[in-house]
Formats: sequence, structure tokens, C-alpha cells
Amino acid sequence: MQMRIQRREVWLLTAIVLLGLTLRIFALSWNTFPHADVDGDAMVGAIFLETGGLWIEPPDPATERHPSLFARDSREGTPSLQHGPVWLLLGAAATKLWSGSTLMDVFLSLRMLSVLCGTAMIGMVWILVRPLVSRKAALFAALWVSISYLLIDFSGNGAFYVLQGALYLLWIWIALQKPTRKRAAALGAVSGLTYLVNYQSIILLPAALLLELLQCRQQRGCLLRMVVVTAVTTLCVAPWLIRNAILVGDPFAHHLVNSNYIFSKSGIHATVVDYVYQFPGTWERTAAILSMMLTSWLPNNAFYIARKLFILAPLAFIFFSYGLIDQTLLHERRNRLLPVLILFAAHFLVSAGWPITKFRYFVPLLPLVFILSLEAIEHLVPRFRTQTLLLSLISVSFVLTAALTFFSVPTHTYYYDGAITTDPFSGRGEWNYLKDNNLLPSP
Amino acid sequence: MKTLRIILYIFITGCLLFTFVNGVLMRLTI
Repeated sequence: MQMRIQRREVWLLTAIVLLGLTLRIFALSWNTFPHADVDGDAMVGAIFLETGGLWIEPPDPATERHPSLFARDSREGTPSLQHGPVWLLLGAAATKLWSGSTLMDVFLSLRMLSVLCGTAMIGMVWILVRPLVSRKAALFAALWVSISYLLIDFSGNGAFYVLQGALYLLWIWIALQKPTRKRAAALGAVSGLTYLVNYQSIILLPAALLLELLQCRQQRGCLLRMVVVTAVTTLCVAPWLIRNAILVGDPFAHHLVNSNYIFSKSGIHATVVDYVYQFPGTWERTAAILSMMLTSWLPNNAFYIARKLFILAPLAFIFFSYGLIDQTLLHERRNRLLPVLILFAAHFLVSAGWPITKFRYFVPLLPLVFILSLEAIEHLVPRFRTQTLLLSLISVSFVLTAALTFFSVPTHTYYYDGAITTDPFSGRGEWNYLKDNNLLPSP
Repeated sequence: MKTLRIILYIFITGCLLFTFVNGVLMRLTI
């Protein structure tokens, strides 16, 4: 696994990181307004700085009671549940450091944090690809992360997806070590932490368990490691579950927000009883959701993910698609790439099984596609010179798609997609958002 | 194994062609 780092390699990597950092600082400058989810995080962060509590609506007995998802009087305050606490607390803590206090102050801190996470991602992908594929592939992986327009824009818009992506890479790095109890504990810690960044990262726990199972040689040792992963993950998320149990009476109350979204997309509607939304019985719900998932969401979203990857990983996606065949069928390559393959499959399934694959779900997915593409190219194109030429050509197409995306939206922002090809709603999401909120610059 | 690989290569080629034409060329916004 150990390889000697050459001086030229260090210079090239430094240049790539500096290029990435510069582009991300530009992204910081054009993301002058928060998009919906980021706005929510910044608002909760600002309320936290003011009241010391994580509220969407702080307690206010003067207001009128309104229905909510749980049996709690809305006048006693609506707790923040939609997102995990890590990102907005990081934003609030960073804001406190420079004595900021308003929503826009927290938004600026979140944007700066996303620049840091997005830049760290460049180095992390290099560290991963070097022992996994080759030195050359590692430099190209770092370059692609550095110049990918999606990763540039999300490294300046204050959304937590770059942190989720960086933690995915950390999870893979740990998963590539020898299976020991120490590794199991580390996987559990990262899984728990990432879950508190974005609930979607719940996949890291079953992914870690599956990894332990597939690498199992001794039944007892492997069972013990699976217990360690589960226990450490639970321990990490316990404070959030306890907080929710105390405030709302349900440790998993945060999932009510997501369930409510899935129910409404499955045609299941709530009735309000005593100011609390009530949903039909469990079996009826499960049948409706499963039927929608298998017949509509999964196929439509898989198509959307594939068509978007043509743009987000130009040319590389073709090699990625063919590469997946041998990466899963051939024993040596499957074993070497196991953590990347498991995490890719898990993230793909959770994103495509969702009612609509949001464009932002590509942020943690894209570095995994780059890693698998580069490994595929190394095998599909054996000649060194042809390989270098192809990788350079792909890098040029990254620059071209980045330029096209940059000029296709007047604010250069890319949160809701719709640049180059249509968004998941077959429209131009970012344009529509700008138009609806009067954010289009005057001609 | 060899037959399975050939079938999968043909399947992926079909999927890529369909996705590129129907998903990229026919959905351009520029």
C-alpha cells in the first residue's frame, strides 16, 4: 500500500489543490443568496446563537397553535429536525468565532466551511486513489474533483453535501484498512457522524455491516466487529435521539419529516386529529410506497442519474459503466474496490429509491464515480501513452462542461440543476428559482 | 462467465446509447 511520493507529484498535487481552492473561492463570491435548504440551516444556526436552542420556531405563547407532525403544542416551539445538527452547529460555532449573529452571518460561515470541505475533498481523493489505482490516476482524480463544476459550486454555496462527500471518502479510507475491532469502531464513528450531517447517510451503517460480512473469515471475530460498528454508531447518534425523545417523545421524530414527504408523494394524505397529523395504517402505507418505489421512482431516477452523469463525468461515465462489469465480476478487482462499490451501490439505491433524486445527491456520489472510472480506464486502456491521452481528453471535456454550465445560468449557481440538460422535473430548476425569487440580474 | 460478460457489455452499450440520445441530446437546455 505504501508508495514513495515523488517531488514532482507533490508539486502537481499542490498546483491542483491551489487551482481547486481558487475556483471554490470564486464559487463563494457568486453564491450571494442562500438556496432553500441552506437558508433553513442558516436560520436555525442564527436562532441557536440567539436562544441557545435548535428551533425552527422558538417558543412563543402569543402565537396561535398550528397542527404539527408530533403531539407537541406548537406554541412551546418547533424543534429543528429536518436536518441533523452537525452542519448548522458548525456554522453557528464558526460565526461565533468572528462575533457574527445574523442569518447572513451564519450563511457566510457555512459557505466558508463548504470551501474548506470541498478543498479537503481534493486531497482526500488523491490519498484514496493512489494505493487503489495508480499515481497517475490519483493526480487525475484530484484534478477532476478540483475542476468539476458541481463540486466547485457546492464548495461555495454553504450546503452540507461537500461535508457528506468528504466523510464518505474518509469512510472508504478506513474501510480499506485491515478488518480489526479498531477499524470497526472507526467505521461506526464516521457512520454516526455522517448520519448527523445528513440522514441519508444512514446507509453507512448497513454498508459497514455488509463489508464486515463479505470480509468475514472467522465467524466470531466478524460478529464482534459488526456489534462494535452498530454500538459505536448508536453511541454517536445517541445525544440527538435522546434530545428528540425528550422534546417530542419520539427518538426518531426527525424521520417524521422525511416520512411525511414520502407519504405525500405516494398519494397518502394525513388527517389532523388534535393538532397532530395522522396517517393511515402501516400495511396500507408500505404497500403504496413499495409500489411507487418499484414502478415509478427507481426506474425514473436511475434514468435521471445516468443521463446526468454523462454531463457531470463527461466521457469518464462511459468507462465507468463498462468498468462496473469487471469490477463486480472479477474476484481480485471486486475485493480491492469493495468499500467503494458497496458505498456507491448504497448511495445510488437510497437516491434512486427516493421520490425524486435531488440534484444535490450527486455531490457525495461523484467522487466515487471518478474513482471507479479511473480504475476502469487503467484496465480497459492498457497502453500508457493512450491512457494519458485519454485522461487528458476527459479533463478537457470537464473544462468544457464547466464553462458551458458557468455561462448557462446568469448567477452561475447550480443548486437545482437545469444547466446543459434538464433537471429531474424536466425543467430548468435553477432558472425557475431565480425567476420566482427575483434573483435574476437585470440586463 | 465469458458469455455473461458479453451479454452485459451489449446491455450496457444499449443503455448508454438510449440514455445519450433520449436523456442528453433530446433534453438540452443550451
